[in-house]
Amino acid sequence: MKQAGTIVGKEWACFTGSEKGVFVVYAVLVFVWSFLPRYNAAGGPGFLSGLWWLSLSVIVSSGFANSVFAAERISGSMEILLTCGFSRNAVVLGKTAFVVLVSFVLGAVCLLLSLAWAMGNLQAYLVQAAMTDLLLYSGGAFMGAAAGAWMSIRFSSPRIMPFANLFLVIVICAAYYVAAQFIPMSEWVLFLMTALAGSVFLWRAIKDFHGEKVIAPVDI
Amino acid sequence: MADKTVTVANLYKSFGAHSVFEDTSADIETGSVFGLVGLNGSGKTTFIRLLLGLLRPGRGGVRVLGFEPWLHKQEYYRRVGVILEHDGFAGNLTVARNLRVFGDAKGLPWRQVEAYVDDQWSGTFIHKELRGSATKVKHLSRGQKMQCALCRAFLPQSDAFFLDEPTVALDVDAIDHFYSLVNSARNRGATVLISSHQLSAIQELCDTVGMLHDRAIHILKPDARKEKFRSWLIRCAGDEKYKAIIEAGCGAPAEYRNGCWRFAAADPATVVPKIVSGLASAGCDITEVRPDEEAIKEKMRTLSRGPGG
Repeated sequence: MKQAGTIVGKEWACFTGSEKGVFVVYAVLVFVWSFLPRYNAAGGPGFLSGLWWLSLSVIVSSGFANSVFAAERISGSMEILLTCGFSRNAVVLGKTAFVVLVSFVLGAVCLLLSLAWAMGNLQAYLVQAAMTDLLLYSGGAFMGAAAGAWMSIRFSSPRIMPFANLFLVIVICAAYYVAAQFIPMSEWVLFLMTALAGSVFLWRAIKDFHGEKVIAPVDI
Repeated sequence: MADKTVTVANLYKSFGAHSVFEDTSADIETGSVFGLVGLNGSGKTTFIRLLLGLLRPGRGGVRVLGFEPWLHKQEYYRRVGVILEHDGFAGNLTVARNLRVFGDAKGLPWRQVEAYVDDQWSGTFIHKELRGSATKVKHLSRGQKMQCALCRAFLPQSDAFFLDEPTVALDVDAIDHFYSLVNSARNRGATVLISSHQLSAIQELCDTVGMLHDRAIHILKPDARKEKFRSWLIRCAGDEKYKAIIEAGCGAPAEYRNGCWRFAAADPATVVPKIVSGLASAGCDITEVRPDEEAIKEKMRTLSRGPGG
């Protein structure tokens, strides 16, 4: 657990040491994304809210998963990380935890901004709904991070990972919304679906990190 | 087998239909420096990856420091130092921050890492980085990154070092420093494996040299400390009577190749002058006498060409 913490700290320091441009991109993304909930609060189609947050979670988590998993594998530095004394589980869990953590921070900021924009009409945009959205977002971020960990090993071209992640969330959402047409169900089910998918991907990623594929050649 | 740090027995490894090792066996003695040479694609990096548990042996056994590398035990990785293709440093972090991470990985307190850098790296840029500068690794030159990788690999507590092309991009001072690190590791009983195409470094540093060729490891230079082996070369005519003089002098078989007699002398200071004197008395016109420094290079060529090549 301590080693996973060291990995989280290392990745966090790497992120905060990035060029300013990286922060600008994420700031713009969060700022722009925070406006839809206001539209919903003003009477827009409420069901879009879940999709909106899940999409953001996948975009953000895929971006980070790309840099902490795929980029390390492509550059070859993953080999060093796996042989320098960290347990392999600590590497996978630490990196996944970092992606979830940083995605959660960005999502929380986005949600707070959206609440600020809806301040004049806060009755409609209930705090409970905001919490559901944050939960959905967290489930999506977890799934994106875990799927990223697994795809970074399984895909010979890990750079297509964000697209695959987006496709995955679309499939899950489609399944949920189609099922919801016939059986009324809350968005908690959608959260559970993403959390379950994330758990399966994480389990598979841990397994694959103990195999040879983790250092297999990649297409760039 | 406490005197063997690395034991490879009947190793098979293939990637699909391409076989890299077939029934390969090799031992590396504790406290020795083993040079691994071979042509491009012969399997040097694959061999190191097998020793590190990054690849799984198809069949056969690999044991290092009593561990089976493929089991990925944390205790094992804490006792090995590694240089691979990538330096392994995070570009966005400073040298010190990176070393702190790798120190944590090995369970070393930061003060011990600092003491190690003070002791082994004083006067180098790495020491300055720890004592004030805060350059991000991505702004370092390639040679500086390699020095950082060496600094990481030789962190305290390691008993075995697997170094793949460790002298790439190093300047003369850094190469000297690398030699001193290797010798210091050997002197305290650690085992070092160096894979390199730079034969001068291999020749100078290594007690034993093995060449990967045709899915097996061929020993080109046995351990001189153990076998008192020293290869010598005398350039003269290939007369059979000269062969008898040389073999009588050194007590070992002599081989005539490329215009030179080559032989092993257990005690060169005594044996070589005696042989030279004997040859001169027999009327031999000697044009060159020297240690067979190019033995590795020539043996590599001979081996890679095959019989009659």
